[in-house]
Amino acid sequence: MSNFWNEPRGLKSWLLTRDHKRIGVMYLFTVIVFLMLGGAFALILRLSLVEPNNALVSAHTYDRLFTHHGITMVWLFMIPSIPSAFGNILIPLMIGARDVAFPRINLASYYIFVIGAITVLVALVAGGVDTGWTFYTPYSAASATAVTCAALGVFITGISSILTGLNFIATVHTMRVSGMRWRDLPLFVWTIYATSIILVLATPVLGLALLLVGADHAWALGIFDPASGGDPVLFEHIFWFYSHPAVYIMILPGMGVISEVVSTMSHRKPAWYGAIVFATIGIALVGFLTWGHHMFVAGISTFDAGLFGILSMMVAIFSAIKVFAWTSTMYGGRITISTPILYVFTFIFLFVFGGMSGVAVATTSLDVHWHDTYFVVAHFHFIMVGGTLTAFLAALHYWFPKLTGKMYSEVWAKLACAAVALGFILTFTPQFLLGNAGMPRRYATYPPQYQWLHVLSTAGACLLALGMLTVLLYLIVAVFAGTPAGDNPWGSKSFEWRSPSPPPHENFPAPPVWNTRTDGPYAYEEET
Amino acid sequence: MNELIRRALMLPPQASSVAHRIDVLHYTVIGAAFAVCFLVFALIGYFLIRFRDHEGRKPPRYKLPHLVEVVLASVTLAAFLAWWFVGFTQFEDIRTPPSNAIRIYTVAKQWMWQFVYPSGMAAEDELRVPVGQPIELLGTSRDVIHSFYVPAFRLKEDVLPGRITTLWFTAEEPGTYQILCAEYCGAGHSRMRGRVIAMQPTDYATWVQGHTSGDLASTGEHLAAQYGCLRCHTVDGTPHLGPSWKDLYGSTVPLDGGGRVIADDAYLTESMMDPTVKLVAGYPPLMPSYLGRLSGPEAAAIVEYIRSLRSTPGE
Repeated sequence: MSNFWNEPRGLKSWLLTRDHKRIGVMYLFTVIVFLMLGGAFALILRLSLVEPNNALVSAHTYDRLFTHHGITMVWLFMIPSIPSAFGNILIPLMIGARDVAFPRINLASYYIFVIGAITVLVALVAGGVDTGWTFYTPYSAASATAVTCAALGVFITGISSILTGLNFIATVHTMRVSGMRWRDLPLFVWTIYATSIILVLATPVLGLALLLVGADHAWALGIFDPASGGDPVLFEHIFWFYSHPAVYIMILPGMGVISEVVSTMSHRKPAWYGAIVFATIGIALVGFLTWGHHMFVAGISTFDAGLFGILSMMVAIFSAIKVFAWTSTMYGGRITISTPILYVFTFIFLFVFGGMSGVAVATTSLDVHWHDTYFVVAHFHFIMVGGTLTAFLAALHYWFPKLTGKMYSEVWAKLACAAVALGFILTFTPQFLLGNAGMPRRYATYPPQYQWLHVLSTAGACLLALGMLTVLLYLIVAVFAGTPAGDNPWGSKSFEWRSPSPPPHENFPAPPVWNTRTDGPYAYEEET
Repeated sequence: MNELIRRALMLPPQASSVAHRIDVLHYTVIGAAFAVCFLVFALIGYFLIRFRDHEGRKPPRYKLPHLVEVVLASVTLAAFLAWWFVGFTQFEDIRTPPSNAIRIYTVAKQWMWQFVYPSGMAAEDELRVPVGQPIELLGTSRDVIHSFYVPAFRLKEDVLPGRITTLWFTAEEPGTYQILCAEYCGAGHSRMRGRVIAMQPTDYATWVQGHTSGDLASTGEHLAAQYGCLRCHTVDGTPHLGPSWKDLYGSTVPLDGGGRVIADDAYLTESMMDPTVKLVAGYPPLMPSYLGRLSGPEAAAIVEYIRSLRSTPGE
């Protein structure tokens, strides 16, 4: 069978491909490599925290490890993970198009991402950066490490983000199959669309912040140095103006995946479609106005803190609406238990606890105690990392048969899912308690009263790593020796399953036809 | 009950006047998180059993009315807003120091805390305070951003270079409480620890008496802290917003716009009263005039204090 994997053939046809599926697959392999690298950093950090006085690595090495853990996971895994990999593979298929609007820009975007990632790796090889992924000034200006190189690398990946965002916006506007209205769009497409808006509007501000930090570090310009009339709090404002919306870049596509999987596995139209779309756009827009909640104790005024607090509550309500909608989609459906939906349950668990702990830290007086402690670390790992990771794994398991035409071992997949879920919860639940107890983050050494919780957390991290390695192994086995999956093993009505699995180069053998009532992405009610 | 939940959540003792109130709100929010999660998973579990896929079964296609959606969203929003309101009311209290607070200056640097008392006395990494008395800390940093954090008080505030941030507290019980730096500040970040020692007021008074001497230089040190001179002028040789006072007296300093001057009593006094006339090269013209604010004896005492900071005494 000729499909996008084997037609056309040859390495050159891959390196110069303009096929959105091949570009998506190249992104997928790239982000998995960075997930493993960032995970390896995390494991070393966790192992060195087993003992209060840090026998494993020096404090300076510890600082560089957590910085590169953050930079790698945020910019080289989570930001591109679902949008660039699964967005690329699925958007044209879901809207019945042959490709994205600008296939050449799409390929350029991939290579720009790779150049940026390599630049970050050069900074790592040159000794690493010790500022934390947040690059706070004036520390970053004075640090003797490779700040400028790392900032430049992240800056370059930002260009890739902007190009990908523009491409997706243009694709959704112009490439939909004839007759597909905006209100017929699959929810995954809506979330990628909303994400693209954030990518295009927020990333330039990150670029600005990183250029200023890089220049400040390289030439001692004193842009944020009070002795030269600068203000370090200004940097925090600029940095979080991007980096808070960036959280939604990571989680919105994940929410889209969850909507698709819940709908398919329940064989139901998503409940409250309109409310979910409204909440998606709401998160993208209101998310721009909440950055100050990272700065309640950073010297901003009491009034500002109150305002940013209440705006953060608004974003939380949109997320709550989504949880209610996913739950009620199952009501009255026909639910199949499979690995993707087990990841959905893990996602919902992490999302509810992560979200509620987010509401807790948005409550100004509570944040004063928790700010910059392990509570915040646990909060954002639950909601942002746990959310992105479980949605990424749900997507990987849900669309694996679409991509490869093969099925993995359900037994191993369910075991690995249990290990990932338990490992994740065991890693970060003790960290909530550490934060309550007052353990600040980014501590290479710590007062001994915190040790037993750190030991528990490290045990969880090992289980999580074991689960992730298992996923990698059985998926590799399935690529070569998996059972044939058929074109649509889940019985989904969504458009991407109407092409053969794996899809041919041109996506649909014959131009697809669209009729909202019978062909809509969620036309389960027409089932006989 | 409070004690039981506090221990279960691993929270430190409630040692400040605000800690108990904050913890009660904490229990409410965390309790609600558990309740919501339980509810969601109870529903999912029920749906999984009730609507599990069986061969040949037609799904019932029940639909929840839109009213459910609106009610759920409204109840959630109401809860969030209530928490915000209570939390913000507490936050305003945390941020508004009472007028009778004792003001203590905090100077953070990599990687130590220095506390300068109203008497002019300074101590490193150890803050002694009387219980039951509001204390207002006015903090600044000499290098990067730090954050003053006392978990047992449930309070923290970033300490920044180039500006003063404040944090106030009233310690409730005598005891020793850990001070931690909560903002990453380099390789020594996790070792930047100190302690608050809360004492009975009578013990505190005795301690202050025992550490206050009556000579002019000490009075000057006290005044320099009180008038905020030490926010910008260090006494250890590190240049900050203004030149350090260490070894300043009697030295020759280059002036902004050329020329030199010997830093004697006259020049130092002139600089207090009209700081921009002979600005030291390399420093911004930030210093306010103290004309009419410092009396003659006070200015003299500060000069005497600067004089006492020479490494090699002698005229």
